[in-house]
Amino acid sequence: MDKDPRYQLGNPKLKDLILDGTKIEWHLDRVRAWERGERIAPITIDMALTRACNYGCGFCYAKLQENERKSITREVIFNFLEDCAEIGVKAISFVSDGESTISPVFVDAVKKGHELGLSMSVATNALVLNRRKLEEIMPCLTYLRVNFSGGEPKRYAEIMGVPEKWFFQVCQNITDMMEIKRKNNLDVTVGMQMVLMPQDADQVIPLAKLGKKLRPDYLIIKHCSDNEDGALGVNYAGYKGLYDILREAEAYSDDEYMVKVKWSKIEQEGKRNYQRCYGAPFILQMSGSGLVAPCGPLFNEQYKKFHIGNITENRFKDIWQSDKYWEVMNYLASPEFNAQNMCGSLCLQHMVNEKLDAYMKDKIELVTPTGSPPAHINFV
Amino acid sequence: MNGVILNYDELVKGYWEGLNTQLRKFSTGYEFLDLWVPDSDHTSSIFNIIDAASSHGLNSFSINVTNAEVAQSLDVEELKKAAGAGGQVAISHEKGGGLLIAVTIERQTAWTTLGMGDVPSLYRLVFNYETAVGDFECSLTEMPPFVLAESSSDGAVLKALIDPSSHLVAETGFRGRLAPVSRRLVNELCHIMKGKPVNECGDHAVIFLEHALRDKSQRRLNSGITTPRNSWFVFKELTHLVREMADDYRRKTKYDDRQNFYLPASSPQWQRASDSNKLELVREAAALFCKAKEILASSIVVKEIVRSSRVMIEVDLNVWKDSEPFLLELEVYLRKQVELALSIFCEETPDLNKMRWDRPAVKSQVAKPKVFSAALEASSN
Repeated sequence: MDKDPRYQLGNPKLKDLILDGTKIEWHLDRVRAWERGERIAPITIDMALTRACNYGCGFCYAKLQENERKSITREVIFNFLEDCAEIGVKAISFVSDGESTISPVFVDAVKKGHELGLSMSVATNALVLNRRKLEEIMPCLTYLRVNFSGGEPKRYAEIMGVPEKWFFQVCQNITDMMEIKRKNNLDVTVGMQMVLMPQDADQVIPLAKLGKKLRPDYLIIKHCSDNEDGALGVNYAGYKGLYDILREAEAYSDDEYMVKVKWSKIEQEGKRNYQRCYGAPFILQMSGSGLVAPCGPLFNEQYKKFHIGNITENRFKDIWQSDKYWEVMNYLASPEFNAQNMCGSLCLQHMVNEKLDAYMKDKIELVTPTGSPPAHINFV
Repeated sequence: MNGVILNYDELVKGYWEGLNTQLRKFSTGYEFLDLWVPDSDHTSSIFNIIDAASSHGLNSFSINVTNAEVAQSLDVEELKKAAGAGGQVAISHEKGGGLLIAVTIERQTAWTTLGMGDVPSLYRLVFNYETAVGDFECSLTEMPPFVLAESSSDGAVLKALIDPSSHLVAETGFRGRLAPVSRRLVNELCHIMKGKPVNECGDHAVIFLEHALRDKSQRRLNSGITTPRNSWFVFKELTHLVREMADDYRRKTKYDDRQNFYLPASSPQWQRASDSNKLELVREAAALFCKAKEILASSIVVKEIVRSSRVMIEVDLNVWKDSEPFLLELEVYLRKQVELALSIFCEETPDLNKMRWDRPAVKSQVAKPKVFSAALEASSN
């Protein structure tokens, strides 16, 4: 992070952002409790308020995650958020599995979570985030990330499966986000994210340039995940040929706009160097159907064996306290499970897994980091 | 706090409830508390818990007393002596007037001198049977081109002959003055290591050992995740022993690759079996699983086996309790009874959002929102 320019506009400072790493070491109290065999609450829960989405991105992993649809109503999400606050969850991100902003309960859910003291964040295509909604939610958010995988209108439309005019609408919404942030001196970090398929590399530089015009805090360029069968057809070897373009994109960074490539994952070419999954109890994922499962790649009905419960049917704290929850978590940490051949590539829990696995193999020590805490600390 | 956390108030309440709801096989749910009966004097009651846990081989645990009235009635000074010489009882005050009593019991027994009484009942089952894995107690000696790697702990020596071209452990052995239980443990460990890459041994051999020894019908010692580090203290010692051996090999060969992508191959019998035989074997095992669970065999239909490892099933979820991870149990059962490489899958649910797969035609000429359109054009000039 030392090379990244210092960000002066607001708080958090850009240099304190960890966009390509894990913050698990900043939560050593919970790691120690996990190590002792206690039932720990997740630090972060990544979820969606619906499985539906108004976009049609070709690389969308969520299309592999279908499971029985159920509605997350206002009552369900409020109960869930209250349970999270009660058991010690620190952050909720509305990222996975569906476009949460098209749920009628989205704005209320963000505000409620914030009121309860939870760190809240959203990743979205941002199409329906008009100025009125942004004014309401941005003070409640730690970060707001816009999924934006093309730098030119025509290619954006092709890659994300939408009409071209939506490109301009979303650009306008990002402009509004930054205006609202400045006007109200908000702490929220606004980012853009490109999910890069090697065949869409022509859009890397145009997007870096577009970001420089729109002025979000950062643009992150990341790999595309695929399942264990390679259903999305991601050519991981293809990323190697893009390193020069990616480095060029990073050079568009300036004092107030950072372009960052998720090198750690891209360079691993979809491979995991560990077999046990220790990360799920720390970062839990939940489907937009209310399904509680350890992670997104296991949402599909075919992985029913890992499905624990559903917040539309039971209170989350009861699901979390249940033996079934801990049986599933134990299974992932046991020799019965091998993430190298039973999982898709490079999941959300990957970096936590990597760190904890190295620790369990006595390859590293876990010590409380020194210095000031990173931004977005509760999103591990 | 330590490994197992007991909620004292819930334990007592559950005990009283259980007296009215359980007719036979009365239990708290924790096997190490089988000998415990609550006392009307709560200090004695907690003393009894510590005694029961200690005699069960539990080294560290915590008791959470959430009821402020009960907490106030406890003789804290007396409780601090409960762990005996070398042990430690740390008591801290919790929110709402409760107390957290963290108990650590110092074990005098070395892992090499274990008697049956030192084995927690969770791991005792396997010691009731003769080992079926052969005898690895021997003095391995140098045998070029294999590299002899070794490590020692408390007088026990672990040795392995490792092929430097493949880094596979060709042979394992141990020696030293070991009590029968300790000898059996190292013997099982040697069996697990044989034929595996040295990195896999260092990374996972003891995880496999702990998993193999644990009686799955019993409740775990921990309420959360069980690992060799937080279960029986012996596993920590054995982990150290194996990793020292692996380090010795690395030192002797300058092998510094720590990557581990080891995946055991299917058994030769499984590889040789025809598709229909495989299906038949799995169906038979699934039927036996249902029988053991006292559930209709038709509640699990094995449809097919894809790529020799994926068992595609249909399950009647009305028959099975949703609160139990029975599909994971079935998977473990199939691996044990039929083939290690098997995993079970239900039918895949396709994405119902057609748009994600089948995108609409893209129109290139569209109206742009005025404000942004102007800004973009101006900045691109």
